[in-house]
Amino acid sequence: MSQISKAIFAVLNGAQTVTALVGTRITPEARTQSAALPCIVYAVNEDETSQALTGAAFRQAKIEILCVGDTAAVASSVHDVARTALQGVAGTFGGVVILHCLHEKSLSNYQVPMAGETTGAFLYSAIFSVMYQN
Amino acid sequence: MAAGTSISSYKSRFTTGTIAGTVTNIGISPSVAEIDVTGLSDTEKQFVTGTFDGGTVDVSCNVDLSTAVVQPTSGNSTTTSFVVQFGSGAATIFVPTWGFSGYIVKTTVNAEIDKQVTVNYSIQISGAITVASAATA
Repeated sequence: MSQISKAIFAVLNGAQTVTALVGTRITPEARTQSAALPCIVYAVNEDETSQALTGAAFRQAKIEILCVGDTAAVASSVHDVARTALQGVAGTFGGVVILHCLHEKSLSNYQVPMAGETTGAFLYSAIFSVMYQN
Repeated sequence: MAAGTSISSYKSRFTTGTIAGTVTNIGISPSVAEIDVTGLSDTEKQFVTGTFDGGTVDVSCNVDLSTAVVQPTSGNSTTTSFVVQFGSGAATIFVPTWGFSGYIVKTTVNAEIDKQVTVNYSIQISGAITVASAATA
C-alpha cells in the first residue's frame, strides 16, 4: 500500500462518523463483491513529486473517495461524513505527514448489478487534492 | 560541430551563502550598458560597452518550517558572499560556479490555494562575478 493510501485509510478509519456508517468496509481500489453496504472505496488517481533543485520537496496526490450505498440517500450520507473527515486535514496519519487535504469536487452515479448480484449500487464520489511530505 | 556535454540543473545550489528555504530556481543575469558611438559618417551602428552591472540574482524557494524567511535590511553596507554551483555529476566532472557579493533587496512571499508557500528573493550583486569551475561530489 502506498504512503498516501495508508494516510487516507487512517483518516477515514479514525473518523467515528465514518465508521458509524460503513464499519470496517473501507477498502482500496475495489469493493468486495456482494459485501454489505454502505462502504467506501478509495483510489489514488495521481501521485506526483514536486522537485526542488536538490531533490524531492514534497508530493501532491489526487485521491478519489467512492461512497457506495443501497440507496442514493445512504451514499450521499456516507459521502458527507467522509468529506467532512478529510476536508482540511493536516497532521500525521498512518505515519505520513499530510500538509493539506482539500476537497475539489463530487459527483454521483449508479452502478448496475455486478455479476452474481441482483441489485445495483448508488455511488457518490469525491476528489481531494492532498499535499504530503515525501 | 560536435554536440556539447550538457549538465543537469539537479543539485544546483548555493555552496557559499545561506538562502532560507528549499531552492527551486536560480537566475543570474549580468549586463553592461550599450553606448551608441555611431558617427555621422558611419554606415553601420557602432557600440561600446559601459560599466558592468552584476544585476540581481532571482532565487525561488519553498518556505521551510525550520528556517525563517529573510527580509531585506535597510542601510546595509556589508555585502554577503555567495557562490552558486550549477549542476552536478560524477566526482571527476567539473561544473561552473559563479561567485559574487551582494544584498537581499527584495523578498516576496506567496501563499496560494492548494499550493506550497513560496518565497522569491532578489539579491543585488555589488561588484564583479567570479566564474570558475568545481569538481562535483
